[in-house]
Amino acid sequence: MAFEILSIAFMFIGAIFLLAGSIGLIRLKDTYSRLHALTKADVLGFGFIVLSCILSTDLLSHWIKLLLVWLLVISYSALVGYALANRKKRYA
Amino acid sequence: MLWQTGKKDMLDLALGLMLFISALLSLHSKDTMKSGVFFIIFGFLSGLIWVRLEAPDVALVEIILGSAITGLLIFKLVKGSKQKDLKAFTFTRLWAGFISFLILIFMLFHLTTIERQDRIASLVFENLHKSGVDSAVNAVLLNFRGYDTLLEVGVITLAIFGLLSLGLKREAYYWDNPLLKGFSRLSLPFIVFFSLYITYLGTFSVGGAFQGGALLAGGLVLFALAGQALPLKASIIYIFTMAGLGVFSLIGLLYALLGYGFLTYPLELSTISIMIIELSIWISTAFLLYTAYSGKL
Amino acid sequence: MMDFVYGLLLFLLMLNLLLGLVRVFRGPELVDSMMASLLLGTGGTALLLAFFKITKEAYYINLALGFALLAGVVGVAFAIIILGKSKDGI
Repeated sequence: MAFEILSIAFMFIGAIFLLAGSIGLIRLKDTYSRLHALTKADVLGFGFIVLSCILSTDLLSHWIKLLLVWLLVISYSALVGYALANRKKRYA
Repeated sequence: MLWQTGKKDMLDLALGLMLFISALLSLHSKDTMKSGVFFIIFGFLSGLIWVRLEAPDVALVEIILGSAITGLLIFKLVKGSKQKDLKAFTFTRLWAGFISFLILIFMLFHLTTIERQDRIASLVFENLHKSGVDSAVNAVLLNFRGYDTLLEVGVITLAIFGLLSLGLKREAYYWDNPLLKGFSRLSLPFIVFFSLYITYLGTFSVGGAFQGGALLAGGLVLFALAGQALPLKASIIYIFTMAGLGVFSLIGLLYALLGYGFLTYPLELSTISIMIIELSIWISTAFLLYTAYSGKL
Repeated sequence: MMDFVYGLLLFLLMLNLLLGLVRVFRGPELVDSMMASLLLGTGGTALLLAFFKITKEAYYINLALGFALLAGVVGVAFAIIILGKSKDGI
């Protein structure tokens, strides 16, 4: 039961961090700053959500798959952020 | 009546509203590129609606094929076209609006008068043990209505033939970056394995050959975006592309020659036949979609 | 009470997507539309994982994994195809 409450709490914290990232996306003035908001705050919020999903199940296969999702989202967030910043600086 | 409201009313309302808004923005945007992005968002929201309607197989297809792969094709299309916005003739727009309005009236009428009928669903579930797979969706797709799926694979193959025979100059976009190269090389084996897993999962849970093939096509596109060529000989790529239609129709003809009837699997061999057909659809869908993206075989 | 909590959670996560839409709509440059692809990848996968937590069906993790993979491809393709010249290295 404690795990359930902790899991829901983590998910709310994750949702709030994601919202913080999105609000940063709207209110910040420069493209590079918006990239900061997206690749840092969003990924942190996503990490909390994955943590809450891990707490809410007890199968090892689910844990491994959830960890894979987390690793994948971290790496592609960094990659896409780098690609966007680089291409924007060179071409736009 | 289909007015039964679910428990998550706020979510449903928000989903519907956002779907409508993204469709509106996609059609009325001043820039074709933005229309493409709105269309991808629209595809993802439709996938979420399928999730809410408790149809996860269709949600998987919509999110992978309808949102991501179509998005890739739209990017290449928009980049290559000279037209800057989506204007069409006024007559065309009026006509399209009128037809859409008729469809809307038709849908509303049926929504208010339809009742739940379970005849066909109960038939499927009664005969599920005879079909060789444990998932109702895949049983219908590959056994009970296998002829439909054969024709669908034929249609997508013909579409790619049409695309190739247009002979358009397709620019190759890539970025020679070690980070991207490393990431694509690390993720391609994982994507191959995961797409095969999704294809296999289709026999008893949510998944299927088309979804797996589209995932693999995404991995191949990522590999090509890093400026790398696939390490396969051209003849192997040809064989993979034609494998879906070829293997499917060969199996159908084989059973016809053996006396069972076209595409009628005998009871003991149905599971293995379905698995062979799914593998062939998997590999050929991947390479067909990759060919649609790259423009050359 | 649980339903209200879950509804609120999903609503918050959907708000992300709405804010992303606003940014794409109001963005003065093209790059801002690309931010939408990044937001959609992270926020959309988060939404699918929230569905997993609520319904506890295992296939939502597969959906989330597949979508995360393809969102990465779409984001990178956006950056390379739209914001670049063709056939060139850097």
